[in-house]
Parts: sequence; C-alpha cells; structure tokens
Amino acid sequence: MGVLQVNVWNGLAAHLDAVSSFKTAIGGRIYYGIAPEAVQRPYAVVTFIDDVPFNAFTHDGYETRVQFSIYGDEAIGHRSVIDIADKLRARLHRVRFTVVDHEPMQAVFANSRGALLEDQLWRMDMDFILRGFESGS
Amino acid sequence: MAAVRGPDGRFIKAGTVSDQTAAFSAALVKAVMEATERQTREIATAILRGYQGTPGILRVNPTRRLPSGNRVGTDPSAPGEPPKQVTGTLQRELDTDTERQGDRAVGRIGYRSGSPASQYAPALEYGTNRMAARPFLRPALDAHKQDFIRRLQRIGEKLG
Repeated sequence: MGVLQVNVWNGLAAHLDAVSSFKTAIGGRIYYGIAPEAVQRPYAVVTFIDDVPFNAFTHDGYETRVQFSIYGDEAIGHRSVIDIADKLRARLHRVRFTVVDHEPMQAVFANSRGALLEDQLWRMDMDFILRGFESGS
Repeated sequence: MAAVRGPDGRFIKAGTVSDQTAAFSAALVKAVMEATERQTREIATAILRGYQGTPGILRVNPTRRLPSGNRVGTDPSAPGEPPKQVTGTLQRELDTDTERQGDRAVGRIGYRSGSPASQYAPALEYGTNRMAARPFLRPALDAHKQDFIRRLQRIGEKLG
C-alpha cells in the first residue's frame, strides 16, 4: 500500500474502532487482507480493490473501492452475517471520516454479495466507494 | 440500467455504474426502455470492450505483455494485485450476456457457469477466508466508469 492508502486505511480503521453497533456485533475483529487462522467468529476482512491513487477519469481527488467480507459460523445462520453487514452499512454509508494529511473522505455504499456459504462459514460482502477531495478542488 | 455480473454469475449491481449517472439517467432510461435485443447486445459489448481495454488481466489485445506467472506457482500474484497470466483462461472466457427484464435491457459481463474460469474466478475477484483477493473485474469497472457512461450516452442519443 502507498502512503495515502495507509492513511486512508488508518482513518477508516479509527472510524470503525469508535463505539458502534457494528463494532460490538463483530467483536472488534476487523482484519486487512486476510484474517489470522482459526480466529474467533464473527469477524470482518477489509480489502482495498483499487490501488490507483488518483483517478484521473473522475476528478482530482482520491477514489477507491473497499470490500468488507463478514464471516460467521454456519451454525448461527446466514441472517446473522446479513445483520452485521446492515450495521456496517449504517455505520459507513454517506459518513465522513478523517484521514491524516488529507481532506476528509466519504464512504458510499456500492453493492453487496451474499450471504454465501464458504467452508462452513457464512459470508456476506459489501463494497463501498471511498471518495476524498484534495484541498482547493 | 446496464447491470454487470461478477464472475460468480451474481450481479455487480447497476449502482456501481449508475451511482454517478443520475444526471444522465433520462437518456439512459430511454435507451434501455426502448432498446432492442441488438441494442442491448451493443450495450453489453461496449462494457466488455471497456474491460478488455484495461491494463492488467483483461487486456486481451495487449500492446505490452502482461505480467506472466508460471504453471508451478513459484511466482504467484500478490494479494491485491490482478492475477498474473498463466494460461490465459480468465481473459479468454470473459463473456457478455444480455437479457430483457420487463422494460429494461440488461447486459452482463462475467463467466458462464460451468466454464473452467468460473471455478476459480470468484476466489480471485473476492478472495476467500483462506486467500486474499486478487481483484480484476471491479478495478476495470471503476477505471472505465466514465467511458461506460459515454458509450451508453451515445447509444441513447442514437435512439433519440
């Protein structure tokens, strides 16, 4: 990850670390890229989908897509991961968060996928577009 | 709306494109509502061309070489990178599909269920609980969003 992307990740992580029903539901277990082995469920994995720092096609700001994957045990049922994803959406959609050395960013819900059964885990994915604007633009 | 389907056959929602197209929706809706099957195919093909023009795995007519992997897996793509080209199956099997849904024409990009690529493309695009994602379809969609909109606008204008 580039410096800006690290800052965006840190800003997003700080926003999600604040007390929220999403954080409570996920037990604070949010990992980047891939979760540690045999981690307690439920948990969330965050992946940056686009590592192009500036999207010249739209504007001079930073725009990137992040994927959240919520995993829960099969036994607790698919509704539980959908409920957690709904809490995540409520926590992020159209919400601004601060980024070091950058203008605030806004997360906008893009699409969801699931719930799917994967290796005896329920999985629900949700994508957000993160948008930020450089000063003066 | 031009919906785009992910490699698992599920929709990548129209919202990923249409979020930015509110101002354009009048022309788009007209185009889509009155589109014939041929015009629907044109929309899907336009989107596919957008994908194929993207540097990375989907560049099927490259002027420069893709990063190559190898068949024994000693040089795999890194997490977050698009998959490296090994056999070319992901590029070769990428396909379009069109469908009428009521008064809407829907074009899709993805892999046909049962095709060899459909067996592993979702794991690359979305990752699994044991493997980090190597996305290649959504970055192409995002990078070409404006181009998709322009192509759809042209189709809409032609329909007048």
